[in-house]
Amino acid sequence: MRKMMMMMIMVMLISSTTIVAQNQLRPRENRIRSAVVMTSRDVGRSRIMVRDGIKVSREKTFVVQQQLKRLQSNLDDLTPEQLMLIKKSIEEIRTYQQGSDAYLGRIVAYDNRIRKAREDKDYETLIQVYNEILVLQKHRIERLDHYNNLMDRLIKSLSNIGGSDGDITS
Amino acid sequence: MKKSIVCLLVGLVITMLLVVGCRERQVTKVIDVTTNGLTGEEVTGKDQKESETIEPKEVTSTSEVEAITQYESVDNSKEPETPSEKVLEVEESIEEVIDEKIETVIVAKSENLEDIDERALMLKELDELLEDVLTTLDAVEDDDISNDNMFDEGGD
Repeated sequence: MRKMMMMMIMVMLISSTTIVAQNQLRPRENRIRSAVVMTSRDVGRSRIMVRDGIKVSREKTFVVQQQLKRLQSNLDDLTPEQLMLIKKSIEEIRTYQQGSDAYLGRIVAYDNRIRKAREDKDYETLIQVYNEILVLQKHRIERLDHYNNLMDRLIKSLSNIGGSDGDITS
Repeated sequence: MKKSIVCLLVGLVITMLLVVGCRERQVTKVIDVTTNGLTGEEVTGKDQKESETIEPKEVTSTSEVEAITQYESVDNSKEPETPSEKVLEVEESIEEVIDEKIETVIVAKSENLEDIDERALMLKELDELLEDVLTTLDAVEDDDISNDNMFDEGGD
C-alpha cells in the first residue's frame, strides 16, 4: 500500500512537471511561429512589389524600344543632349545588367533550406532565411526602381522625335 | 634543446629563402612575358602566316578595282564585244559594290557621316541592351521562392 502511494505520488509529480514545462514552452513556440508568419507575410508583400516592378520595367522598355525604332529613320533629329543621355543610359543599363546577373538565382536557392527548416520545425532558421530573402528583394526593388526611372528619363527625352507621344502605360 | 632550436632556425631560414626565391621567380616570369609581348620576339610562323593571308586579300581587291576600271573603260569606249565570263564576273562585283553604296545612302542623310554612323551604332547598342534586359527580367521573375514555402498560420 505504501509502495502504491509512493508510486502514485511519483507519477503525479512527473506529470505535473511535464505539464508545467509544456506550458512554459508553448508561449515561446507560439511567439516564434507568429514571428515566422509575420516575416513570411513581409516576403509575400515584397514578392508582389518585385513582380509589379518587373511588369513596369517591361512596359517602359517596350515604349523605349518603339521610340528607338522611330528614331532610326530620324537620326538627324537627335540633339546633343539626347545623344548624351543615350550614351549615359547605355552605361547605366550595362551596369544594371551586370548587377542583375550577379544576383540571379539567389532566392530560388533558398527553397531547399526553407523546406528542411519547415520539416525540422526549425523556426529560428526559417525567420533568418526569410529575412535574408527580404534583403535580396529590397535590393531588387531598388534596382528596378532605378531602372524604371532611367526608362522614364529616356521616354521623356526621346518623346519629341518621330511623332512619339511618350505616353507611359504603367 | 639547443640543437632543436638551431634546427628550427635553419628550417625557418630555408623556408624564407624558398618563399623569396619563388616570388622573385614569379616576377621574372611576368617580366619575360611582357617583354616578349612588347618586343615581339616570339612572333614567328603564325604571324607570318596571318600576314601572308592578309596580303593576297589586298591583291584581290586591287585586281577587282582594276577589273572594274577595265570594264568601265570598255563601257566608255562602247566597242561591240561579246560578253565573256570575265565580264560577267566583273558585272556581279559591280552590282555588289552598288548594293553597298545604296545601303550607305539609306543610312546617311546628314553631311557628317561619322556622326550618323555613331548615332546608328548607339541606338543599335541600346536596343540590344534593352533586349538583354527583357531576358533578364524574365529570369528575375523566375528567381522566386515557391508558393509552398510561404509560411501561413495554418501551416506546419
